[in-house]
Amino acid sequence: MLEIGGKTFASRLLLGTGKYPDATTQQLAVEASGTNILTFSVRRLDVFAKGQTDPLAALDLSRYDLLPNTAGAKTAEEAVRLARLARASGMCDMVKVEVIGCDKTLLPDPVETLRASEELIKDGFIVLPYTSDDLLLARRLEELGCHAIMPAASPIGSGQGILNPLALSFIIEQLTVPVIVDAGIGSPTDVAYAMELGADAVLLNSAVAHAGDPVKMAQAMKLAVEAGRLGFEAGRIEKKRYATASSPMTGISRP
Amino acid sequence: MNIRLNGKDYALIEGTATLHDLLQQLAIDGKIVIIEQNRQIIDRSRYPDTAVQPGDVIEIVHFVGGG
Repeated sequence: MLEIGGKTFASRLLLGTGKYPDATTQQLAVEASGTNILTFSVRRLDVFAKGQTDPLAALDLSRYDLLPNTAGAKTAEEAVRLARLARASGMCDMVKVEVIGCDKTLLPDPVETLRASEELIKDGFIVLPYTSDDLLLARRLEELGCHAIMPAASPIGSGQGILNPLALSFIIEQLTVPVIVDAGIGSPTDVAYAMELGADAVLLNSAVAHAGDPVKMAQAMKLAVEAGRLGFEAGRIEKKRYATASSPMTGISRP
Repeated sequence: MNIRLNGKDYALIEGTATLHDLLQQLAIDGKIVIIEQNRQIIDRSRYPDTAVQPGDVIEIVHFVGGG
């Protein structure tokens, strides 16, 4: 079971709710993913547009733990404000701290992420910062009291998969809190790889929402998480330079 | 009476005295929204007894899809 801030979750897949082609596809994809945790953003309500449809209306939010993000924030202060607004909904006490420092790469600003996380921990939130794959930064975030650390596999929405498995594995090995690989996932291969490295969970959005068939891809991601996790728990074989026969080398019958 | 609502000037109609009234005027009283008045987050239970004053800066936000 995945455990974050005293809550336990059967699924090790966290799913984003952005960019689905339509509400029905989203609802079916969320269902197929088997996820327990959905991420959201906080935005201005367009109070001047009448009769707008709510893209999240098809989801039964009571069945999920909600993980609002602070996307849009460029400073710690903006992130803290967005987190507090989200919590004021009365629907969540977790927050994904996301403070972007560069519009082109969407890489997180490490200093602002640390400051925001510290403030939100003091304020009683369950804090899950989105961070780069820097081990020392991840350790600092853990020392602050963050409840899980979410290093990126590659830039948000890029689908490039895991670019630096070594850096991710250092974080996974050294941290005590859950490590959730977040951002950049493209395919089930990437998900299984992250889980085989020992990640506690994976968070993805575009890889499902933008897939040719989001519902089928959601199911594929669910299976990839399970396969990767089982593989990690089972313990893979060592890599060797040369072949080792699987069949007996003795008793070979030759006429 | 004018307020600043989500970045735009907005004229309140006669009888809109509280945040609860404002949500009704905007016809969004059934949705889950969060209101910030002059940079203070207002608890949902206090909408009916929180007065709207001329010149207030009000932000109404909600959850949207995101990753």
